[in-house]
Amino acid sequence: VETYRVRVTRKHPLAPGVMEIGLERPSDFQMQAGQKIRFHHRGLARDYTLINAPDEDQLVICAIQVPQGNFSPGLMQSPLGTVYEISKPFGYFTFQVSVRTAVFLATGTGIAPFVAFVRAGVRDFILLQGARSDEHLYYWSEMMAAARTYVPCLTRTAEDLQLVPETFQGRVTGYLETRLPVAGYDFYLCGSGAMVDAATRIIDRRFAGSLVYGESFF
Amino acid sequence: MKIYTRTGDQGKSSLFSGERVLKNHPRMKAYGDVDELNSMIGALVAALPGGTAAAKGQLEQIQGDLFRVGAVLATTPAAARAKQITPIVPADIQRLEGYIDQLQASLSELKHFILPGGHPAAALAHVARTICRRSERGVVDLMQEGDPSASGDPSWLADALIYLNRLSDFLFVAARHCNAVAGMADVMWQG
Repeated sequence: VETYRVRVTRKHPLAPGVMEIGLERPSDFQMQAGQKIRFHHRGLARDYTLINAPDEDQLVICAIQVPQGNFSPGLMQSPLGTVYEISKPFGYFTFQVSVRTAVFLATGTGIAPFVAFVRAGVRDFILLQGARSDEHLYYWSEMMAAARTYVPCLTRTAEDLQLVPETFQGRVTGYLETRLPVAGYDFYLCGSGAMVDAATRIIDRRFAGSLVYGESFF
Repeated sequence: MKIYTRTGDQGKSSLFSGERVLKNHPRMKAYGDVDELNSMIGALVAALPGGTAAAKGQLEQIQGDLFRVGAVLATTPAAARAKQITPIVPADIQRLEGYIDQLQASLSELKHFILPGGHPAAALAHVARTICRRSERGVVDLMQEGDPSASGDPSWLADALIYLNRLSDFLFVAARHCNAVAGMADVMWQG
């Protein structure tokens, strides 16, 4: 089987322009946490990371609406029952067991693979989650509960500090540069290409001997 | 998605297994050579004369195999991520030997050295063959330099090396096949 035809089974808004979308799971669908699927739709191909646990009975993605996008507006407005063609799961951005502390850096919907990791049972990690404001810290409570250290990094002043108890004012790369203790880590970077580039340069400079696994999506 | 990143601007790059290494690291050199080899085979495929459909299919299969060779070279076997790759195995080498036998079956016996060249596709096959030989040397360097990461599963590098050795033989035969199909005689060395 190269592709599957699956129905939209659930839609759940997370924030303005951001939505969790559930899809029915084909019976022979085998996946690892952190893998993606590719939507094939009217000649377009779009990749989304699955955020469900590997053994869950549905597939779940976190979609952000790209203004004037060719695919995401239609996906997010599609009624329940709409059929999409998706690929088998693919990709190598999966969690690797290690004696070193894992440090996850996520911006925007780059949190998606880390949500999948947590739902697959990964614990005891450091997570730096970057967003403009606290309403875009998707899944923060679930992630904070699983992390050894959870650091929301906001580029705007937090509007509702009750949501997230302690924040770093600045980018995830700012925290990496100034706050994270120097040591050897396993870094997992997911978000914009600019963040992955900047973080990698800081890691090369401050965290020699660390491993770097990166996934950038724009 | 932007094709360029700036993470390599300081002369470093990432292995598949996550290590940040200098771009002249033996693993980077070795899989860089394999990347170059794969690209040259792509040029060869683009230049194939008519009547070489079987060779085209074989070369495209080999291009896929070379991605796997590259993944082996870019991954320290002891790394956690090593389990995610599919190394070259003896069955891949046997398949390649089958390709050589198929192409060679219609060629005349060779009793002299020949000059690399002839049809453009044959010339490209010879260039690919020489890059393949350099790729072999890179793997041998990696094995000899005592790279501690090379000790995790020696069979991976050993099988990749055998595959590359066989591939250079295949490319020699493929060059002669291209000339034969195009109606061009091999040029004997008169030395």
